[in-house]
Amino acid sequence: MMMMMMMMMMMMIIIIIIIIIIIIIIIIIVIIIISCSAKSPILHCFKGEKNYFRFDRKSHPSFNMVPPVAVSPLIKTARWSALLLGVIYGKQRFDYLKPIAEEERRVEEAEKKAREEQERIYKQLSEANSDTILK
Amino acid sequence: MAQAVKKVVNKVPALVGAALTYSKPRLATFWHYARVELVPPSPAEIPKAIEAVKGLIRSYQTGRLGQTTVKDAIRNGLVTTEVLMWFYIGECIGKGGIVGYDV
Repeated sequence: MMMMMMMMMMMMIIIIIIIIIIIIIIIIIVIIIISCSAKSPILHCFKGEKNYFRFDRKSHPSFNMVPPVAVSPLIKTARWSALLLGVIYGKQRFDYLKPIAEEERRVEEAEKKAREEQERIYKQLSEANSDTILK
Repeated sequence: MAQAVKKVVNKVPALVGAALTYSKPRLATFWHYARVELVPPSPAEIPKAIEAVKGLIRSYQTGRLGQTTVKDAIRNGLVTTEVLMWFYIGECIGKGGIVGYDV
């Protein structure tokens, strides 16, 4: 019962986060559309003179910086095959660990119930046996 | 409360615009380098990689591997470490989380 409630809460939180992300994406798209229209006073920094925030390709650092290095094919294959192996390994280990963790949780729940039952009985017994005149 | 919300909402477009102007050149630089350096190997390059591995094994057998300078050895060690780290990134992707397995 509690787990169902927790799962429902998690689902609601995930749905809220997704809605917020969608709203942010829509806002970004709206701003880009507005900035493309010529009559927008707010975002005139996207259009207009060349020496404002205009993105000028030739003065961009990548034209004056080190050219990109030609990576050897061995390193490229090694990198991407390591990535692939890592994904496979992670997925397999996750699938291996998941039922073990569920089993452990189940066992823990059962033990907890048994323990609480014991405590309850113990408390009841101790209350019944405590025979004092200071009731 | 409504005033504060209105102020925040009025500032969001400016913030997003500032974020865009900040990130566009940097994304372009990143793309400029990533397009050459980070692409996966095309199918034509895989035989070259296998050749390079064979060359490595041969150089180990002929003993030429013991003649690498310390500078070269450190550089190769760093590159190897970087390649091995991609494995852990793949593992993070495969297990669906950054720290630990979410079982």
